[in-house]
Amino acid sequence: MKKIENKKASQIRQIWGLVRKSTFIKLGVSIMILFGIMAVFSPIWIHINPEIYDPIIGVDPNVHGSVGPSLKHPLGTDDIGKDLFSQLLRGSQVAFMLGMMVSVFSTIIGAAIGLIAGYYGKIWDTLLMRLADIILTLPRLPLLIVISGIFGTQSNWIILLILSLTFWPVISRVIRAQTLSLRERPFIESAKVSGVSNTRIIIKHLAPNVLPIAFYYLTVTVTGAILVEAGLSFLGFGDPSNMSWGMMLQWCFVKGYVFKAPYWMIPPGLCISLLAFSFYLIGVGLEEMVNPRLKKR
Amino acid sequence: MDTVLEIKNLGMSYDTTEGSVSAVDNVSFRIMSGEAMGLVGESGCGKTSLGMCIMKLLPENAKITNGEIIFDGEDIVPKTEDEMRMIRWKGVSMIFQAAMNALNPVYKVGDQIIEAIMAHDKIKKEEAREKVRDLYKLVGLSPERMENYPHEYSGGMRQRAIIAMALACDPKFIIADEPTTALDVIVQDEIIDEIKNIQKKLNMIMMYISHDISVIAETCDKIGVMYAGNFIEYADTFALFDNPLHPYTKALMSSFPSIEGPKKELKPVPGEPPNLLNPPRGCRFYPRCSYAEEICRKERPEFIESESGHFLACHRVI
Amino acid sequence: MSPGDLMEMLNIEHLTKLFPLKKKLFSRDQQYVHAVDDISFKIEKGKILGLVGESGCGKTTTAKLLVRLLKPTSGKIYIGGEDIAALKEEDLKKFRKNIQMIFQDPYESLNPRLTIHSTIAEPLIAQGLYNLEKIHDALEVVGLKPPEGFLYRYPHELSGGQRQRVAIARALVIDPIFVVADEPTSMLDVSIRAGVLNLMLALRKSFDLTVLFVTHDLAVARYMCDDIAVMHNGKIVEIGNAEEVIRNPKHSYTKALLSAVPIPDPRAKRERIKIREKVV
Repeated sequence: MKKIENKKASQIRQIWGLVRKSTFIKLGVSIMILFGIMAVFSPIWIHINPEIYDPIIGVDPNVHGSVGPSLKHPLGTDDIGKDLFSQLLRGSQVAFMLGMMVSVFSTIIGAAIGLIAGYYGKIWDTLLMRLADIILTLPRLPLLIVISGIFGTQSNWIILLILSLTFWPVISRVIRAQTLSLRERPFIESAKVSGVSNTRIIIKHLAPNVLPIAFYYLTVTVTGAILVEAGLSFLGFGDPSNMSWGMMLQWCFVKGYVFKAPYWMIPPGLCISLLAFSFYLIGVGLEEMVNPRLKKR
Repeated sequence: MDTVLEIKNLGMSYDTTEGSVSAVDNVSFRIMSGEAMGLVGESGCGKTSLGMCIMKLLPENAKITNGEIIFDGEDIVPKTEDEMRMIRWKGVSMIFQAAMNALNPVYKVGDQIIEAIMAHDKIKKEEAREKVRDLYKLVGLSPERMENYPHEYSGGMRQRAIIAMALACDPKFIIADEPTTALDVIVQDEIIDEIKNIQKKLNMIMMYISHDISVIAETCDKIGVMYAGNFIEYADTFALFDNPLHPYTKALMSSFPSIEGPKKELKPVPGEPPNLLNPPRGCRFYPRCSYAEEICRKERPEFIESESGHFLACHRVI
Repeated sequence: MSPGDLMEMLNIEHLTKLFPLKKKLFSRDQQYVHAVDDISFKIEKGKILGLVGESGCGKTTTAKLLVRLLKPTSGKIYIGGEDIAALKEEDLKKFRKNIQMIFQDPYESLNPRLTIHSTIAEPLIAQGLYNLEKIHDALEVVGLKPPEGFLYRYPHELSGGQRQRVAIARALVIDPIFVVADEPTSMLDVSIRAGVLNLMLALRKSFDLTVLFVTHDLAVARYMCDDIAVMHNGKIVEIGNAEEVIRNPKHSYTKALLSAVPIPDPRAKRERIKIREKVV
């Protein structure tokens, strides 16, 4: 077994070497780490003075109206005296969690469906791809409203559900296309001739070869999820029991402080753009790496 | 009989992420007027690279490190891209490997050749069209086919069209790089015949690059054998087959089964061609040679004339 | 013939494979390509039959039909006495143990993400016969020594010749009685080819394999095969002992094919018979 570990280790080292060389990935990851630190820092910040700094219920009694940045409130406060910095930190937690969970769920669903549709073809392909088409036509906002209405609540879990369900079709199409081309390759034919079961062919032979592109979509979906969540929250459909960057923008807009309090308006917008962009950069870097020009002769 | 092409000590290397690959090393030979020379070797031996050097169609990361390529009395190595553009297609022309995909699918084949002619010669379109008609007859295609698109041609027909294009500007020298590899045996036979006839008719010199020694035996007057970037043997075709001197040449000959003659056992050559990032210091064939000696490991053998007209790079035989 | 003898042959009867062509919009008739058109032949145990022809003649389709990568339109395929042509997918698994295939492309027939060990283990696992010893033996038998040096490498670390040896090891590891080799050396360098061909001949001897060797190269077919079948447009136009077919071809297509094969001898002179199939 040691030999296998050695080979895996050297493979990982190889990939790490390529990763280190990519400026895109380095930049993307740096930004991502920055926000990661913010997310981790959030509970620490709150702990300093929970009464003032809790992003949902904390209020500074000494503040009246929205004030600008100060030592006590690094980003100032909103119109009822809630600390904006802690809201921003909580927002990065939500962005990360939501972004990553949506991306993982939608990629897993999309990859599974793409593999099945592409490999089995015929009726499975037709059924699954038509399903994907139907879902693609559904508009997210009305869907969110309807589902929230059914459950009687607005919650990040519902947003997670909606986003996962609406993101997988795009991924499944791409994976299906890849599967279609892969399934004609001799090593798949060879597996069939050896009597390998279809399930095993999909899991052991096709899935790993589809992995690189799935990886790429993992990162790109985070971008999409962050942006869509921000949009939904901005429109007032976010989870009121939590705080996100989109919601910060929404409150700022609703309370009429858009032009009056740049310290309120700009940071969340900037964060949304930067975090989404960072994942996009990682995706570009990954695509570069998987590019055939790096293949050995 | 004069020399049309002379290569002197040509060297070429590629820059890769892992270092410099010495693809062509110290190659010298000449082709006299009317001659067809065959360049034979396996993948990675440098034969295609050599062909690209002569056309100076090198990729970005490749460069000619030393030597001269004297074509029609002039060394073309120092020539600029603009100067080379005048020479390509008119002086030297090339039929590429897998050339069938070199045709643009959205234009009629005839038009593509006409365009190629007009890009190099200042003649009217009508004259170019006439010329293409003649070329088609020369390569065995019916001139009506000029109006068809590439997908309407069979593999063999496309190859003939490519040959017509290569001949369009009356070159003195044709380099054919595996022109029939992707074709079926019967079509291959016809194309090889065609190329040979055209070469004789138009009195061109030809360099025929292939890994298939049978095809070279049929078409060429002289043969150069390449291994790992070096010329290791060069002789008149009959002389080479009657009396191969280099161990690699001998090994190569006994790797080709034949449908004629008694059935003989094929003898494989053990080992692999060397990594050209770090070629062996001495003879590049040393690790696989059954006749190898100490000197073969240390010193690169010179490419010199062993018998009249028969050149060789080997310590043992000389 | 005793049941024992019957077990040891490949017997193809009237094998046909039709592929539907795209239907014209308003036409009623479905047109078909007769990729394999009513062919029949037998291979005795331990013999190698060469299936030669140019591209599009149906030889690769025939190979795929024999290993049931394709389902025959009609006809029978008896392997070891059992007709596998009509079997459903679910019942085929048992027979997969007896018939294996070596593919043409050494760069594509191995899964780039699996180690050599995993690649060779796959057929064993599929048949419930996994055994590390067998994998070791398979690698040794194809000349990849020491086996430990190859087990945990990836295909891209191996040369073309080595990869093809792995493909052979994979095909033989479950002890098939019949092997289909689809142009196994045409993508290898010439000096490597000889080694792989000789290996296959040696393995045929040691394991008493029955082989269908598909190739477009008549010279290779002559070297490897006991008998040769020539295919053209889906039909077998000539079949017989290899030396006989090559020395005394009877069918005009065989003659044309033979006269077109280049000979590694500058003095060979042949008469050329041109086939005018299409006006060029």
